[in-house]
Amino acid sequence: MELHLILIFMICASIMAVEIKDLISSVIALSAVGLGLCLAFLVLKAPNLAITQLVVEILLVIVLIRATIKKDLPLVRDGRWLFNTVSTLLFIGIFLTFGYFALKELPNFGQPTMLVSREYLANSLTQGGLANIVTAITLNFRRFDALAEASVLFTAVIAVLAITRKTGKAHDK
Amino acid sequence: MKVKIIIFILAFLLWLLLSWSVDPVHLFLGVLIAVLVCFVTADIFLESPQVFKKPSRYLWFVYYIILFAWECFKANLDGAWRVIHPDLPINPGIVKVKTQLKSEVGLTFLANSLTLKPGTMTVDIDKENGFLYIHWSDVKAQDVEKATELIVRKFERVLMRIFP
Amino acid sequence: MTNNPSGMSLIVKTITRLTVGLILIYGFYIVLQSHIAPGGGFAGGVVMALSLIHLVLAFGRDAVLKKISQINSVCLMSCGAIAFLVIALSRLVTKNHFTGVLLSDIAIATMVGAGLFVVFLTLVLFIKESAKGNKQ
Repeated sequence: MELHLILIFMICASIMAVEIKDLISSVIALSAVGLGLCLAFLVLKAPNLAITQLVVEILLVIVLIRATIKKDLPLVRDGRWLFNTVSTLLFIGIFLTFGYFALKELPNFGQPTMLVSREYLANSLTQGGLANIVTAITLNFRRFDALAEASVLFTAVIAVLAITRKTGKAHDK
Repeated sequence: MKVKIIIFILAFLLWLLLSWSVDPVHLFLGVLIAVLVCFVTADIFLESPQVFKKPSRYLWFVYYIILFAWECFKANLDGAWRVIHPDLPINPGIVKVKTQLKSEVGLTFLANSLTLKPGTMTVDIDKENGFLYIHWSDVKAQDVEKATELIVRKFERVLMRIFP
Repeated sequence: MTNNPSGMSLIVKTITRLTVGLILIYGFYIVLQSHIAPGGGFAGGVVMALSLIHLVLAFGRDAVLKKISQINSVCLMSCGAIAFLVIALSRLVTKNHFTGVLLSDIAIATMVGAGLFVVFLTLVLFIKESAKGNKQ
C-alpha cells in the first residue's frame, strides 16, 4: 500500500521534471524522484541500497545544479516569505521528531551492536538453506542488493561502450 | 570433428576430477561446461589428433619425467657448488643451439625443460630453422654443434620419440 | 627471430592453447561451489572472463575477434542480466533455496564474465582506433 503511494509520487515528480521549463526546478523535481526511490528501498527491506541511493542522489543533485546554473541563484526576499519560513520550520520539526524516535532505538553505550548480523548468523542454515553464510546473506536474505550490484556493473559496461563509440554518419563505400 | 570429441572427453574428465561426485546435477553441468570449452578452444587446441593413439608415447613420457628429475637434481647441486665457491666460477653468455623437433608442443617442452634446469634459460625460439637461443651461466663451447651436444642432446633424444 | 607480428612468442602461444580450457573449467567450478565453499557468481565470472582475456593477450585481438565478436559478448551479457532478473523475481527462489541460488549464480557469472570481456575488448579497440587516427 505504501509502495503504491511512493510510486505514484515518483511518477508525478518525474512528469514534472520533464515538463517544467526552468532548469533548476527540473533538477529539484529529479531529486524528489530520487528521494522517492530511497523510501521505496526502505519499504522493500533493503537498507544498504537506501543508504547508497541517498548519498548518490545528493551528489548527483549537486553536480546537476552546478552544471545548469549560469548565474547566481536569486534569493527570495519579498513575496511569499511567510509561507516559506513556516513550511521550513514545520519540516525541521517533523525531522527532529522522527529523529528522536529513531535515536531512542539505538542500543545503549557498551552493549554489543550487531543486532541484525546475529539474526542472520543464527538463522542461516534453517531459513537461508545454505551452509555458506556469505552466499546465504548475499543471495537469500539480501537479494535486492545483489540485483543492484549487477545493475551497477551493467551500467558501467554500457557507459564504457557509450563513451568510446564512433559518432557521425556512416561512410558510403 | 575428432578434435572436438577428444576435447569434450578431456574436459569432462577434468570436471569429474574437480567435483568428485556423481549425482545428476553435477554430471549435467559437467556436460554443459565441456560443450562450452569445446566451442571456445576447438580449433586451436591440437595440431593433429593422432597423438593420443600410440601407448608407447605415454611410457616414453614417464621415462622423460624421471630423466628430467635426475638432470635437474644434478644441475641444482652444480649451481649450489658454484654459488658457495669463493671464486664464483661463472662464465655467462648466450649460445645458439640447433634442434630437430618440428612440432610446437615439442619445442615448448624442450624450451621449458631447459629453463627449469638451473644454469640454462631459453631466450628465444626460431621455429622455421629450429634454433634456440639459450643463456648459459657457464659457457663451455661457443660453436653450434658442441653446444647442442652438451645442453640439448639428452632431452632431445627422448622428446623425438614423444612428439614426432 | 621470425616471430609472428601479432601476439606473443611461440612458448606463450602453446601454453595458452593447452591451458585456457582449464581456466574456464575452474572458473565454472568456483561458481558452482558457492553453497559450501567461498566463491559465488561474481568471483567465478571474473575467472571465466580472465580465460578469454588470456586468449586475447596471447594471440592478438584479430584472431580472437573472428571467433567471439564484440556484439556476441554484449548479447551474452544482456542475456545474463535478464536471466538474473527473471530468476530473482520468479517463485522458484522462494520455494527451493538451493536451485534458486545455483541458477542465479550461473546467470551472474555469465553477466560478469561477458561484461568484463566487453570492457577489455572496447578499450583495446579504442586504443587501436585512436592510434590509427593519430598516425593520419
